[in-house]
Amino acid sequence: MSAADLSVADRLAQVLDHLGIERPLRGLHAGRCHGLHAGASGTNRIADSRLSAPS
Amino acid sequence: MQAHPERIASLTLVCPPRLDPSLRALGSRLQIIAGDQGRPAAMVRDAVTNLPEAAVVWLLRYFSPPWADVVADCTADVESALFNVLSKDQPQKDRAVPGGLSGAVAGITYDSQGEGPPLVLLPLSLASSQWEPLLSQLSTRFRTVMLSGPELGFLAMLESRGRSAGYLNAVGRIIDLVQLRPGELVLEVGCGSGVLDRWIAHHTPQANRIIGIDVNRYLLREATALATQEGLADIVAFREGDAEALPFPDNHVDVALSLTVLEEGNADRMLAELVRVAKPGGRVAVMVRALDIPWVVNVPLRPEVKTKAQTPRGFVGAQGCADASLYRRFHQTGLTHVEMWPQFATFEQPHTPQAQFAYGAILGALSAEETQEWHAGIAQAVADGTYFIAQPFHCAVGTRPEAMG
Repeated sequence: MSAADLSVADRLAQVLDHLGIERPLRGLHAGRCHGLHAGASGTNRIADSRLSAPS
Repeated sequence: MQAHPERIASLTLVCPPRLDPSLRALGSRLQIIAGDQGRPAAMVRDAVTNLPEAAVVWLLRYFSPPWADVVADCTADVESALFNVLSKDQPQKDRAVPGGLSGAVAGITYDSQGEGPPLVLLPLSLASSQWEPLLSQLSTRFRTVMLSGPELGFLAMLESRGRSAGYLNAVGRIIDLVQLRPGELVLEVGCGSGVLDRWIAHHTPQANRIIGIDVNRYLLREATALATQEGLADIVAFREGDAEALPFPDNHVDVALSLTVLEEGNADRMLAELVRVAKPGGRVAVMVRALDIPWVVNVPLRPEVKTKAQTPRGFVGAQGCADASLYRRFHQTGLTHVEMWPQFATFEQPHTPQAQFAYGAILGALSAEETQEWHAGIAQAVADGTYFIAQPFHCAVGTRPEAMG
């Protein structure tokens, strides 16, 4: 899959993995995170990204 | 989110332009901060009837369309509301992770600061200051991860729309009518992400210098980065400026454009400024969203649901223009060789950010049963090859005479 074909969820998952956030959140923070933003569609994207990333 | 809502500690939506009923799954972990004035407030009041557990914090006497710079305008109120929610989910000290990183991954730019539980900051609509006024306070307690770039939020919508064949057809007619000649200077007022400036640069073999101005520093940063990525830094320049007081002398540009911007401020003042900075013989062109014309949603739906889906939606400022009054206003500027017309931009791709943005507006007006019908209808239309959504716009083009009356 080329970079242009990545979904927003995949892109976000890569960012969070890159920052080392995904695993600490799942293991140490009950798999939860705070999200702050301004659009409902974006809400789904951030949530989906976190849940679709490899555990 | 629908599958595992328990994994989201809290979600705060600041002046949301849409509220999807599926947010209900978050229960009391959802907080909405919104101004209490006008149509944005009415949208929130209607939508929260489907979100009974959500906490709503009203910003008193505040009008909060998508372009509101809400964190800058209401810093203390937003800070108070945010910390009230965030303090309910106590961080544990041994969960802190180091911050202080910035870069880009998979087309998303990140800026991570502070230490503590991760706090993800997605782009804040069209707010000029974004999260900046609160960033230092938030970073004292959280690892704030601020995300941006053309794949997220309104920027993704602007880029998606500005690259769609239907929108470019509509803009293309305007560009054809202004009869742009090589060497002429083009000004786009309210350029946003600069997607149309880049398109014009490519469309006109880079034979014109183009200036994009916007009051929004967030969008200008992104626009500059995108133009540089496309090798257009020498052709397209961006600078900060107010459409109601353009930072140019009289008679300065050959073509002055403003597309879907007159909705947001004093439309008559903006039009007067476009005319002022145009040279004699220069052309002025504008396009606004038409909130007085129904959309065409070519999706199989019951008539009552289709009526809801096709109802025009969008925010317009108190002195803005998003209807056929554009024609009267434009005529009164004193421009000559005026051409005025409504037109539709047709979007034929069902899964783009632009389409998702439109769906968000429609879904906010539908019941749970109607929402199911909506999704089934889209699937059917896509399968049949008949899917499209057409958005109406009002357009006008004119020429500045040698002497203004």
